[in-house]
Amino acid sequence: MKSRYLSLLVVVAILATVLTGCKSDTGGNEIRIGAIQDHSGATATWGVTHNNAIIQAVEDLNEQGGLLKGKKIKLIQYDFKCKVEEALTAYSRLVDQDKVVAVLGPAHSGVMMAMAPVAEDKKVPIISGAMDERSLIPGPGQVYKYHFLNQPSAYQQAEAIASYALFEMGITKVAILYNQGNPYAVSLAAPFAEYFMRHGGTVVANEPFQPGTKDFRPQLTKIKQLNPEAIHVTNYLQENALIAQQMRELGMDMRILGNNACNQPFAEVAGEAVDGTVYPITMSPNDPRAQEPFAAYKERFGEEPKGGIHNVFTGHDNLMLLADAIERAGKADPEAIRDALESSTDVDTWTCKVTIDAATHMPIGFPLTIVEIQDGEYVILDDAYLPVYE
Amino acid sequence: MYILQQFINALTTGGVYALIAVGFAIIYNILRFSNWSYGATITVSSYAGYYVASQLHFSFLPSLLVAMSTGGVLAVLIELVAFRRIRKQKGPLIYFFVTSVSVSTGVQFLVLATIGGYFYNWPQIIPGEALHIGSLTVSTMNVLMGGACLMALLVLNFVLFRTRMGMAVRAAACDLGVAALMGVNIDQVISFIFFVSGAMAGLVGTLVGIAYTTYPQLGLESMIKGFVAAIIGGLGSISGAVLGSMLLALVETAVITSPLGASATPVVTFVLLLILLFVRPTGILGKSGSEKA
Repeated sequence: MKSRYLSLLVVVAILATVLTGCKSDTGGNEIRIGAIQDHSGATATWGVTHNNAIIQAVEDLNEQGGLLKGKKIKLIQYDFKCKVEEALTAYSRLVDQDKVVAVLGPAHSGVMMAMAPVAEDKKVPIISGAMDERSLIPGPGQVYKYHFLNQPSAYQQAEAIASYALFEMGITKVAILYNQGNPYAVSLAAPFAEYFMRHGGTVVANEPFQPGTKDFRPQLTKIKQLNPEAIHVTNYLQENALIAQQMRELGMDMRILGNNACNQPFAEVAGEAVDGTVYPITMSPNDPRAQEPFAAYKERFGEEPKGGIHNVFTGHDNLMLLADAIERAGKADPEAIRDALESSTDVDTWTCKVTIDAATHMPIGFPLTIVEIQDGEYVILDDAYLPVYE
Repeated sequence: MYILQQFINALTTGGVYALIAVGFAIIYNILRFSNWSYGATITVSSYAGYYVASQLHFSFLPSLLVAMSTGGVLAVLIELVAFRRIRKQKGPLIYFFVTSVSVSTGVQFLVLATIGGYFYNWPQIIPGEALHIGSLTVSTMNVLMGGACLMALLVLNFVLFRTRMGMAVRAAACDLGVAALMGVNIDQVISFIFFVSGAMAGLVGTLVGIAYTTYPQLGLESMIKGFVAAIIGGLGSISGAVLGSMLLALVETAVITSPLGASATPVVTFVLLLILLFVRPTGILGKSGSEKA
């Protein structure tokens, strides 16, 4: 009796394995693309908007006829909950089980630093917004072949704000306050300091704080002593907002120089503490180019993009860059798509024409908008700024 | 002046930690295990308080009351569901701890799944201006937290030493079995203790939520600080929890102020903790003996 049940179990197990193995349909009439975003973690505000933008872009593209002569795009999404392990698991699942030909990754430097080496093994290309150059460049003269960035890197953005502060605003004495456990924050703080000092400015303090810190008063009190003209913050939204509020409480009314985390909804969350903040961003809320996408998003999802219009743009534009590469590749094959991505030239996206540098996988000449928050409004100071190099 | 301001910063941070550590220590004192679900209770009651403050426009005290009641009720429910059976069947103390971790994780993910990962800024229901004494600044929020902690300790002291229920609680803390023989309704006493601890969690959730925004990891991050503070001060002593909190905050602020900067904070904190536990394993004011989880 027992051995009969055992052999039945073995047969069922074998059948199950064989049948699930046969499940994947490779090719056919659809192009499978994966998306890994944060739907429920610390950066969910941005992640959900970004993901929605991808969904909408895929729908629009499919409506217009799809890619490669009528094939529809099938989007498979995963939530990585702002955790690196979850993102890596999602990527493996997308490649091994869901058999996608490309992945739209999250704009998280820490995650992409871990995922880029994995992509070298799995050989499915990823487009992301991860600004830390270490997620693209493992060493001098090298590049991660399967990872592409579609926004200015941390270096480029840090130098943009440093350059603007120094040459356009005449600020020469700055303190930096950054989250030392966040690669994104670290990767912005270092180039800022370097550029600023190289071009004649002074960085009076380079203060780190531990991840999870919500009370910045010890660091702020330390900085207040040194009397900088401005404080540069390079952290995520919640931390930047708390820093601003605590600064004003301590009577520190110097200007804040921000990062691209200071775009909407920063002023809504932090209130008048952040008036006067100047920061670089790929797309500002009241840029004329943003009006139509904003309205379209609102209509499709029934609410305004909570994570800011720039996340709508990056979600949409990453898909546009991928779609262009798929068309040029001529087939839904990861290797061909990777090669096509590497040779992207003047690709039409909402933000600008994107050209990818084959040596670094970063965009060349991607201009940034410099925004100042005035009375809760996002005012564009310069809509195509590039840093000054002497 | 600079050193004085940093000292005030340290004291106010210590006050936050103390608020958390005391509620945690209440459970520890009586039931001898680290109730990790305290963090989950903090998170949920913080959201409850935020909801009534922002959607129903409650002012500070009503919001606080809602948060404290939510916390109390949730804690009692957790005890009923997670801990009662273990106690009835005289399970080992470590099982309580393990269950509390499961509850904490479960509740946190429930919050994430239903409400999502956004952080929420409370509406302005307490005066936002900081107090300025000369060139020194103290945040109103921190004064409130310190005051709340003191009040909580006074109320707790009164209840424990001047009421019948308090006497029953102290008896149960001494020996559950004998107290039951003396006619104390143990189930009722335990529910009461959990309610009090949950109400403290509600207090923490409201004040910390207002100061630092309400977000899903609020409880967990608070617990980590509170737990370390309680260990330093000695598990089993409420005044130890307060002392440990102050010491922890002082050490942290000192390291940040020093040329070492915040990078060295965890290293210094934990090295000192190791040395302390080596020299005095029960913590500064802790009581020795008896099994602990």
